[in-house]
Amino acid sequence: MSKLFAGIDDSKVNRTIFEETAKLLELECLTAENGVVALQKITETVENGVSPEIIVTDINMPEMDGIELIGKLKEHPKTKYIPIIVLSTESDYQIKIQSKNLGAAGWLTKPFSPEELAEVIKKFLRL
Amino acid sequence: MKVINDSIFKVQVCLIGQGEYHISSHHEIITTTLGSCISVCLFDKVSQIGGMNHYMLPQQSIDDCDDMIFGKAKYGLISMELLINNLLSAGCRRERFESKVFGGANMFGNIQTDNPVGEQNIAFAKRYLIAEGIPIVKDDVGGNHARKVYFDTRNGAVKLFRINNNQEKEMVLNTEKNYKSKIVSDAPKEKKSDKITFF
Repeated sequence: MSKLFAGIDDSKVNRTIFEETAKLLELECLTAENGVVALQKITETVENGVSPEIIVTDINMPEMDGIELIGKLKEHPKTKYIPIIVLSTESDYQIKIQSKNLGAAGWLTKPFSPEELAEVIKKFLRL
Repeated sequence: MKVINDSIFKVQVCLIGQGEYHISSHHEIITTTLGSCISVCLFDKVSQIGGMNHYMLPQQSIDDCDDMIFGKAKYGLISMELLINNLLSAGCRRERFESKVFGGANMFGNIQTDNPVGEQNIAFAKRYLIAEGIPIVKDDVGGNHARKVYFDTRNGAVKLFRINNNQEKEMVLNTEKNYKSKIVSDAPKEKKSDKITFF
């Protein structure tokens, strides 16, 4: 079975880019439009024995933003070790520091192409 | 962006140029002049917050619409991302957005070029908004004339004037040419290392 990649963004365009990236890398793709749905889907798949190898999340989202999502994922014993890459439109220093302190593994400035995202994922998954 | 206290509108008027955007949660007029560039006006009726951008895609890097969405023509994407994210931060909800799209003229008049930038800009804006599920409630795009757009952030209304005067059209064309040259000359300065950070 392919490795699982999770991409979270309220933008449909970016969720399509997640799917394109997954195709490029021959990964399974889980997408969600906000932190609440992401947490539910990720918890469910982890409970079923399939953990995402990497999570890429936007920051500014309705219901639950990326910062809160990272906090919750890092609190959970089964998801705390999954590397998380943060997406943002601007190089906001405060958000960068905040996400780093919460345990995010990296940062990618939006907008991004499937190739750019694939490059980041490959580094973490050693593809 | 220039802020003007306009005697006609009797409210603050914000003039945005190429590559700029502005949002407002109080009563303002956002205005811009468009040739082949596009402005997308977004308005959330419930929060009564509106915003407008003004982008120009670099013609030489666009091959087709897929490329516009998936990577190459990032300027339109940056502009839309910044506009939407700032509106969301201000209290808007994505599902309540309504959009109006203006611009995308062929400023060379009767001279037909293959895949002119104005048409590519229109295609990008429409494709992006459809992909995001944001309804386009009004558009005035294409043609050979420049446009002056006034967007009222109190109610989302737009007043549009078509510019057919050759002298004014020439000014718009020259401004866009200068901006395009700047985009092209700035492009190699961008470094991948600025985009990706590993903590």
